[in-house]
Amino acid sequence: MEHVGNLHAADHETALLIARETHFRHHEGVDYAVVRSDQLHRLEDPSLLERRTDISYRLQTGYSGFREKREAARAAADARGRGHLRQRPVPGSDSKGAS
Amino acid sequence: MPSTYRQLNIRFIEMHANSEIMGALPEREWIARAPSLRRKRSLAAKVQDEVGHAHLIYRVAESLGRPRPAMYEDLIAGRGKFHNVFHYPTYSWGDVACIGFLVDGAAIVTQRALLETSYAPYVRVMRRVVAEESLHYRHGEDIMLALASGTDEQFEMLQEAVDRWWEPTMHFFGTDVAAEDDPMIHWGVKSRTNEQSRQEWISQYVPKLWDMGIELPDPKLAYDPDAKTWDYTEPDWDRLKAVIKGEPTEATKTRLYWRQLMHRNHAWIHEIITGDRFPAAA
Repeated sequence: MEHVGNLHAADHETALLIARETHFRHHEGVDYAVVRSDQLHRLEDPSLLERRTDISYRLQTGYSGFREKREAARAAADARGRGHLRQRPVPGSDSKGAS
Repeated sequence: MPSTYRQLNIRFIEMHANSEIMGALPEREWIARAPSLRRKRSLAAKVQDEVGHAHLIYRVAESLGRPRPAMYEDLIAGRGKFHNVFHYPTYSWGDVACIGFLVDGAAIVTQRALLETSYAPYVRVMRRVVAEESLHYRHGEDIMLALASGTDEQFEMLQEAVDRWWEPTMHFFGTDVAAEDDPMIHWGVKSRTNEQSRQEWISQYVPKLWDMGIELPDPKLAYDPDAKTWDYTEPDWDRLKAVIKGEPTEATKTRLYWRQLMHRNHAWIHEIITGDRFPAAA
């Protein structure tokens, strides 16, 4: 469910009718609900959603340098005599091995 | 809603939710033993995500009529089904790399396919799950690369773990069932056959392992560029049956024992948060 707007009405039956006229005239949606605004309990302290510590380990940006890390792994594989594994055919390599 | 459709979905979705919890437990075993603070925090965050996924996915099954307390109590009593891969023990940090990269990779393949599943509430939950899984993938690949390019001891630990996890992950996708024989495909729950998903996973992950110099314990594993499929040794399907239908493994028994203990000891927290009263667990 997405919040699409608000309106003024005497009771919830009327609100449902008015909402259909004001927000769903063109069949935008298959279902909707109305709630009286004093029954909508919002988060009082938005700072609860803020971050206080470094949580880069939870974010894409916390994981970087994969190209260098993969190159380092290839070099290590060569040093171990396992560089030939990546020469095997794989999808998209035209039988010439992974790039 | 046809009752066949409802039941197929409930069974599938309940097993999925159970698997998120049972997948978190082997990784959780390594939070206290992670080799660095950053890895510890990353692993804890991943475990938290998996439990969060379980919450969301149980709710989808509940929306189809299956009560959540019944699902969770079946799981910890040993009656609930979950994926084969989470019945196995872990022995080293190399296992954490394999679970985070290979096993999670298999889950990502099947979960991406679920973005097209026919039950819309499941699709909506999968969008969030798939977004979080892409971060888990990076975490897994980071650990794999660190071990593969590390000391000989690290490399061997990783290779040894891969040798153990190869067959269970091949098992994960299930036997090859033709689309026309698979009710899950007929009802739109699955959008790919088991073999299609397995091939997709091999295509995505084996080249990366070979790139790192990691071998797989299957001498027949090879890509056929003409047929555009991977050849491999047929996994031992009796072994899969033994794991999921036979006596619970030691690892499963231990993990479920602790879940039962926690469930009993923490029943008061459930009651406060949900307002439900739980009968004393058996």
